[in-house]
Amino acid sequence: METEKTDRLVKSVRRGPFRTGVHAFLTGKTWQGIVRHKMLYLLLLPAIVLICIFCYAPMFGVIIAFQDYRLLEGVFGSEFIGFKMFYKILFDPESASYLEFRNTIYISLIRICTNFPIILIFTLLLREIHNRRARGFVQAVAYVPYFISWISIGGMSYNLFAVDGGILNQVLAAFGKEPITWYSEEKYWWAILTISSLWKGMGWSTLIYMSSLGSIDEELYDACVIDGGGRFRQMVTVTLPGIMNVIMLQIILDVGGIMSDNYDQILAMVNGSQSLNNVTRVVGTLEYEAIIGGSQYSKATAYSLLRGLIGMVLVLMANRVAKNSDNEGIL
Amino acid sequence: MARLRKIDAFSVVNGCIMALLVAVFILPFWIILTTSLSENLQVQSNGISLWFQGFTFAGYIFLFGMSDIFIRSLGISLLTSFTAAALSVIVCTAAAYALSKKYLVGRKFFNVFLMITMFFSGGTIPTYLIIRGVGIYDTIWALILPGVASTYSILLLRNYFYGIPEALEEAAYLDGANDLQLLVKIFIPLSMPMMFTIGIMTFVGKWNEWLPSLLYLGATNKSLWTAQYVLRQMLQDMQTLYGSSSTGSITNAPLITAKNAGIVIIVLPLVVLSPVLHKYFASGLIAGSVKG
Repeated sequence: METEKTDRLVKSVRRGPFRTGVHAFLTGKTWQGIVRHKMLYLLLLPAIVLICIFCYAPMFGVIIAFQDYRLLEGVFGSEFIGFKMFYKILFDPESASYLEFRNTIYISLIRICTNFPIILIFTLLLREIHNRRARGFVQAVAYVPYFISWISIGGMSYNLFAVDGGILNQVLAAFGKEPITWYSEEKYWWAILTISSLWKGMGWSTLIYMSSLGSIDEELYDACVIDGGGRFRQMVTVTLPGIMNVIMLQIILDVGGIMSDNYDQILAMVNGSQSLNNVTRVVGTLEYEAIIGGSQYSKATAYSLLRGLIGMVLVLMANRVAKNSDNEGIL
Repeated sequence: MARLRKIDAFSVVNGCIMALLVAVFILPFWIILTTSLSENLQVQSNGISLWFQGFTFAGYIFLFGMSDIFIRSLGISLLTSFTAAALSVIVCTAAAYALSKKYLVGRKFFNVFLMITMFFSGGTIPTYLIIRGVGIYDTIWALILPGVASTYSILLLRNYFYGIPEALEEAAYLDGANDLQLLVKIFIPLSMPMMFTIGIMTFVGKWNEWLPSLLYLGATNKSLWTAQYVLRQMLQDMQTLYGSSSTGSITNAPLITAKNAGIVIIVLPLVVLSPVLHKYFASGLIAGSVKG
């Protein structure tokens, strides 16, 4: 009786969906391919696991922006409040941190609008140095700051800005001017952050332009010279169009960076000075304070999420503009 | 076509600008060096100067002799940077090898899975909560593991693997080699330059990091502080160098020169190696700008 029953069951299974579904899959090419190369999946596994933990899990962790998150209750125990936090941080002057949001945008905007053209001009000037050795030396020196940390740059700039004994104040004294307490004067700091960014990144940023300058056909320059074009004409009619693609790429990346706050840099440069808070507190400060203080997690995460979304929209827009103007985008 | 270039006003002005820039790039490094080797009292009374004011190693002796905090932090920095670099090379090479195989079932899915992480990130606080959640908070792994599996590195290596001729692989395959043997015997020896690039980039990145020490370690856990973080604490308050047990007086200590000595120690290896770093970073950058 029993065997008959199983026989029938087996038959029905073979006839049924099992045969065309799972069975076909197990004998098909796809599954055989997976089995034959199971070693490849094993090799892939560590990277996938690490990326799941350190990239994907935090992505789902942004759910705390929609919660009234408390550390003790955790992600699963905290109360879900929907978009209330976003409403609060955008429209409720009581709990919003407009200052941090404003500073984040201003500091990045100033940095991008000044650094981008200066780096481009530096590249063009560098190209006009025809002695290979001299050019190599300038480049080699300019690269160095790229490799060192913001903390060391913060320490180095203290030699410059120290109230008594700092280089800048010694120069001021030599001209008979009063010393400036750099670490408590708000008005200088957006400039200081901008210039220090430039100092660190300028040499390295020329590299990407330089490599595409090399691919410009020399004959174009010769043709321009024959047509009577001077140095400036050559720059405008040959060099700039030749590296336009890289320039557009850089602009897209820069635009995407408008919402990132270089918190690393700011914290290192201000050297613990509290009197600069009005101009140097950024969204990153909120996140940092939430972690150190153990509260306000949801608010800081909501700002961070908002910042990320705006940044992404900006990149997509810049990419669209670049593509519409006949340049390659990044996506 | 060799052209004779005449020296005109533009070249002169341009040359001057470049000379000025070179000075601006070099001087900050020069100043930390001279200050670190100067007499602290002279620096205090005369201010920072471009030249040595006296010549003494007192700053360095104080930095290393006062307590073992700084030297220990250098060890921690070396350990975390090196471990992270080694792990990153191993993990990323393995993953990149698998992804470079056209016959890998689900390859498209894995590619998208990786690419997404280049455009979205959870942000500081969720990452912090995850690090607490997986139980590595306040351990050395919190400094090492984040960033080990980097999508950028995987894609660089994958593109490098694409450039290795298929004929080599087929020959080895006919000889009976399996996937792992192919990787170890053929792909890894041919990809050493790119693997080295990944390793160096990870190492320098970790060496320069300091926020993880601040965020992922308990406030009192000095034993795991990295050199960057100790330097940061020192720059703000030299008391950091004294262990919690001894509360010595720092009135006569060479504070300014010791601070600069700390910066010199942390920056010097990178400055000296910068031509090498430049070579490898540049090869990474250029490989990355080629669309895969």
